[in-house]
Amino acid sequence: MIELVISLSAQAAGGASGPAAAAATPHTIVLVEDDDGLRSALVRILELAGYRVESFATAEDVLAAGAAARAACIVCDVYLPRESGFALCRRLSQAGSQVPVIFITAHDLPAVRAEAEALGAADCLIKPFAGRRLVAVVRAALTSA
Amino acid sequence: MLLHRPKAGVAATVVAFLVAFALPPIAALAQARDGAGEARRVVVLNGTDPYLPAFIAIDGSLRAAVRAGHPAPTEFYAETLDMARFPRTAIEHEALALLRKKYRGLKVDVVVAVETDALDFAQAHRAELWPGAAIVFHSVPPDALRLRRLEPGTIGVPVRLEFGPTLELALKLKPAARRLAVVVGASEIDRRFESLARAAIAGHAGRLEVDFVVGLPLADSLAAVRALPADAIVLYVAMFRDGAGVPLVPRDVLTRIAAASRAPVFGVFETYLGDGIVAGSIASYEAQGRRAGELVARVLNGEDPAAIGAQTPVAPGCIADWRQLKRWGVDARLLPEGCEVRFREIGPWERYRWQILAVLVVILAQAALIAALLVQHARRRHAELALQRHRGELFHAARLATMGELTASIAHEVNQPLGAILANVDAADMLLESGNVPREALREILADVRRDDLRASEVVRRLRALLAKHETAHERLDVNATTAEVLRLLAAEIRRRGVEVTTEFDPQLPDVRGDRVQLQQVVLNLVVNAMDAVADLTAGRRRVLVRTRSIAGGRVEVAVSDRGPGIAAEQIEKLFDSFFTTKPRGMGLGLSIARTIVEAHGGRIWAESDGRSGATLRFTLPGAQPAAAPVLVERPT
Repeated sequence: MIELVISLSAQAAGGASGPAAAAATPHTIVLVEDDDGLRSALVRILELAGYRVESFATAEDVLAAGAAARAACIVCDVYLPRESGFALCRRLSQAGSQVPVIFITAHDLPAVRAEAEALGAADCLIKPFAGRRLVAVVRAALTSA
Repeated sequence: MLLHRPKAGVAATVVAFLVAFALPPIAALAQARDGAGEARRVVVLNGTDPYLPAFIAIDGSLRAAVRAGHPAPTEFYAETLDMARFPRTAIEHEALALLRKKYRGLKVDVVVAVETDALDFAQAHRAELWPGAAIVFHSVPPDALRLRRLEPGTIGVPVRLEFGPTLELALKLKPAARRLAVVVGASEIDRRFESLARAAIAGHAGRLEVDFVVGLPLADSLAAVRALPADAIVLYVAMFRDGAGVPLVPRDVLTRIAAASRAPVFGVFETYLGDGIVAGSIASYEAQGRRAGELVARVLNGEDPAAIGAQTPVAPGCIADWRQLKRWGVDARLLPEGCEVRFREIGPWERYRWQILAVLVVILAQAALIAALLVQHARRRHAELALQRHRGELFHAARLATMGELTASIAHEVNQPLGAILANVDAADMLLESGNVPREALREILADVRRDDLRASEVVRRLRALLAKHETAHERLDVNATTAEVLRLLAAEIRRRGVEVTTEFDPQLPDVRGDRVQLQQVVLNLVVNAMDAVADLTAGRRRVLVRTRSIAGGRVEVAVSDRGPGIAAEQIEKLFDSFFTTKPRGMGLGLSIARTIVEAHGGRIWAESDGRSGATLRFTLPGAQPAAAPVLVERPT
């Protein structure tokens, strides 16, 4: 699996990111999703796209692991047990983080989109979404960052 | 029988004593009584057999009429000449001697002469045997009287033997008859009746072919009626003795004739009724006896027979036998008006009409009552069903409303596995594009897709179970599992609201009986209410505790506690009332419906709060008992 990921990541870095993809080491994506099934599927697709993925079920776990510091991009569910994805984003901003954040949520509500925008999110995907779309959004976020 | 018991020696002594001393005093005793001037004497002299049924009947009513008309004591003496069997010339001398001896010195007031022979005998020997006695006759036909001279002091009631009218009656009842068989015996009396019958039949000679079955042995007579065609009628006259010289009782002969005959039998004597004749023009024996008895009484009372004078015959009338009419299929409506029908088989209706009517009335009243009760029951049942249906619809509507509030969470619950599936499908697609496809990786992806698909369909199943209208079930339920399922359904909502729901389930909880969806509706309502109550608290303090435990009496308690602001005391009482709500958009139906459901399950629901720090809503249910039956119904649509 690891071999496979490496070969694909080289392809991904050289192909989709274009010539600008200087980094030889893959970007680290921090994924926060409390749903086990969805989380493992998203981890799988992001890894196939050539990224290194650190996944967490709660906001608290992200903070505890200090994962934000290693992240090139954060993909974060809005509604999480206890602390929400918005709250996590807020904390990281307050701590001076510039890492692009992509929110994913099943609640396609104007209020949710508005809040995501207000927090300067790179994007907000409404579940269910295609795996390729997430990869595209992540790539875009990384490029613009 | 008792007289035969004494030993022969004793009997002989008694007889010798009577011969030696008792005979002369018999008349003396009678005279002594006569001397007292009390008893009057009546001798009933029968020319034939006094035990013939006809004479027994006549004698009974005669004596009754005498007693009624002459209350003073009257002695009856019965004598018979039996001349039907013993020719008059053979025994008259001896009979006379005996009677002379018996009645010597005995004052007789009236001699009742029964039948023509007795009348002749009485008139011939009255002066010698019963001097001064009046003669009252009966059972003598007018034709016989015409041939005789009635002495002074002889009166009586003639009887007409209605052969003519009886034949007319027979033809009326059986208009198709073309043949007539006349059955007569061989005795002197039989011959006398025969001549009367012949005279009457002569008038119908043109219409009927007549067979005279006369003077034959009984067996031949029976054979003759047995051989008759169906269009015949039989006139049975009498048979005191048959052609073989066997003495007979006419009524007994009739029984056999009627049994053998292939045609209906008619006759003129009342005693024949009931023993085989269909009908006849008949003078009633009762009337004959009564009228003769009245004459006797008048004489005993001192009236002069000559002043009483000649009497008209007893008026005959039509009398029919109901059973014979039926046997021969004769329409009773053909009978002349006023015809007396005897032996009518009284049906149960005629016999017990009033009892039957009473029973019918009671049965009808009961039936009406039962019908009314059934109708009432059906209406009540209908109303109950309608009520249950409406309640079920209300429950369903309330569930829909509650679930409507949870739409976002429900969408989330479905979208999570769908999102996972989409991601996995894209992952597989990317793997395929790479050209290097490890089978193991693909299999993993497919397994995940399958798992997520099942997860999504499980959510849909749970939702459908809760949302669909359904027939109320009555099943054994594990309250812990039922409650846990609700919490699973609410998981997304719980997460979305940032509420911490903890459970304390009693593992020893007894099962209950009831409707899973309705009980889940109650739990759902309580948990959503509790989450509403803690909504305004800060993230870490939004706590809800769901607890189950078994309590006394094998009952089950479910309690949902929150750390919200509590419920004011004045609100606690109204909490379960319909349309009472503290929520800005609530309808105030949730807890009211919860109470209805819990109570229908034989349970109780209530709220506890100190009005400051949280509230607990509890409901109890009886443990599973075979008889506990919820009555709520939701019809599937």
